[in-house]
Amino acid sequence: MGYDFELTNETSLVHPVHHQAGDTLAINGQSIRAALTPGLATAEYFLDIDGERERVFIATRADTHYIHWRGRAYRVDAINALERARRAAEPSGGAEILSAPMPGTVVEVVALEGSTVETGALLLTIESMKLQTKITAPHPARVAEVYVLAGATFDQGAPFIRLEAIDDDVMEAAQATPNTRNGADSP
Amino acid sequence: MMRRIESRIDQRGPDFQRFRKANLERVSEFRRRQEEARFERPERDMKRLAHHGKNFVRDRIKLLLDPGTPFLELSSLAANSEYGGDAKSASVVTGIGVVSGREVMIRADDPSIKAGAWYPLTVKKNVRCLDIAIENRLPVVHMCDSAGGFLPLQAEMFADRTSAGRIFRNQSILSKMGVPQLSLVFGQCTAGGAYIPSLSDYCVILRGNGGIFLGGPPLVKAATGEIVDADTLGGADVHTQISGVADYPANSEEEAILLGREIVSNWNRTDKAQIERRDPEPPVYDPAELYGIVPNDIKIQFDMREVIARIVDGSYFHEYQPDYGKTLICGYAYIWGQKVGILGNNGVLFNDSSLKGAHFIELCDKNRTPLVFLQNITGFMVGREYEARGICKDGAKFIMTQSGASVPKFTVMVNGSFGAGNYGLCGRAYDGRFIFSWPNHQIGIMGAEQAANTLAEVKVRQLERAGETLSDEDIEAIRQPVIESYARESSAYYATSHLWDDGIIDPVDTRNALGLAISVSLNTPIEEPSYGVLRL
Repeated sequence: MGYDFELTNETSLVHPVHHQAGDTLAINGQSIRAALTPGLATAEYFLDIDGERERVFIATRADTHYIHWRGRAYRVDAINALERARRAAEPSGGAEILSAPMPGTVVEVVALEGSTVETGALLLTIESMKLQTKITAPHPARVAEVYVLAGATFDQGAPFIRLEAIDDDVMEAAQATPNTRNGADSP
Repeated sequence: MMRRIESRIDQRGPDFQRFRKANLERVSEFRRRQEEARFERPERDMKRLAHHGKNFVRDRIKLLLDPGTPFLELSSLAANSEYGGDAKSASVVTGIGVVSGREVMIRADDPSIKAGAWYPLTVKKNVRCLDIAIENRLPVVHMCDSAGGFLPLQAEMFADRTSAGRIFRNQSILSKMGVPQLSLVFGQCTAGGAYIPSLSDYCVILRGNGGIFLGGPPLVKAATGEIVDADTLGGADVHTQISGVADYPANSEEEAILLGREIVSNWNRTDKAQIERRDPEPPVYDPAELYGIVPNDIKIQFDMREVIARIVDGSYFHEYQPDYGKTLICGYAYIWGQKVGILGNNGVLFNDSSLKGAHFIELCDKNRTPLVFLQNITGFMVGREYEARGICKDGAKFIMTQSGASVPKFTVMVNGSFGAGNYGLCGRAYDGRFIFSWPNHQIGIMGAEQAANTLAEVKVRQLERAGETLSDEDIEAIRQPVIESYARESSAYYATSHLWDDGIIDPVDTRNALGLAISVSLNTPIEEPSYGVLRL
């Protein structure tokens, strides 16, 4: 399986191919002979590309690689191709009604009608089977209507909250504060 | 190829900080109790040990193990809630370590506590340790130094199926399976204790302190009138030169242990069962973040994916049926390069989550993937609708496939374990290879508060029927002790005290404990899958 590598906003699809004669990389369909050999110093590597040898330093944190080459630093993000496809096909977060996953009672309502929420924002807490569960925003949205009050009991499938889509500007602003680790890194 | 779990934890948020503080306190309390069980002994007892020229049990184990290799100690807090806390670690140290390059089970009596006398829970821990050796084909090194059974409690440890006789039965079965055992006799092995070295394939006995006899000098005198000293009766020279009960004499504990290491180095290595493997890599999320994930209140739900992300290689997880039966997370991952199928609770078990669990277990069993259960479960869903949909038979499918699975199973008590949820997710009764618990773990037939209320209500009604009128204060006076005793009996410390698990661990050690446990489990070939009849 290939990876998408993102470097300075350009994305390349890279497939490593193992041959007996040596490894090659298929970069955007073009085949290049390449090998990476660790050096003696920390983070030091020698990169052989089509017969040329370059000395590089590489530091890796999860899927982000920081590469120091010829006096400049580059950040390369490896993006799992399936993850990219999944994200691209994901509904952009339109209107939606959040409903009860099981019967229970409402412990606390946090969401305010008319407010804008980010992914993962706490909307309300419910209790069922001795367990408190947090109902959170599945994507950035505006809280259109709240149907329940604290203390109310409900059946499975009862509507809690209606979310509606927010326009692109607001959504981008909301997405600019991601709460995942990869997104929080900066070079 | 798998994708990484994307953590959604907000480390700067108030919940994370609050949970982290609570869990760090729990872990330091656990560490404190563990240190005490391992090392704190009355000065008088340590002086007596030194007077006899004996090493402390932990130092003996240290000498035996390959330097720099891990030692997975089991049930370090066994018996902590019994016998007034006297029998630290149940007076015996057990654990899995590496000796001369081989994974072995170590079982070492602790003579610093009542001369190593066995309490009922010592017997239970010894039997469990040898059960583990049988199930995982682990060779055993016994370090024998016990005065024998603690007589005032003999009725609780002598005659039953899993009482002391089971130790010697298990030793015999190990030998029948071709799994070797070595005894290092550092003290007197009297009566039943004499069978441990006698049933071992190899036996080293220390000159002076070491002794093996069916009846010690006082018993011999009482029985026949014969007056004989311990060394003449059953010392190293008698047994290595005349009786053939032991094989090698040694002049010091160090010599005995080094000789033991040479003996182990001559044992055959076992081939591991075939499972999918890849190069190990650490999780990308720091396992120390686990402290901020498990809430300080058992009632608050959390996402088990966040736990998985901090246990498995590279935080990679292939989630199976992500949109079906969402209260049970199922999927594949690697732990120290070994492929596993993980089942973790994300809420109450419904019909669909039970079916998903049963289905996933069958998949793992067919494709020879060991199973890891991460428990945080209040039970199966109740109510008219769920009964009508057959929650009982769907739960039964889950329990039946789990019980019948032939691949090795491992359970981590991450938080609550209540009701039949304990059964579905491979509680103690289901013969998983190992169970480890976190310090925050709670366990019981139902939650502490519900159980206490029910119990208190029954008592109040009994008294009222007897004609007593009770004030609110009276009722509270009845309720409070019930709550306290129930809370105590559902705590991780009570559970581990009674060997309902194989030990409490610090959450950050979960990955290493599981990695080692999975590795040893593969000493045993995995049987072909087969199942009982599912009620479809």
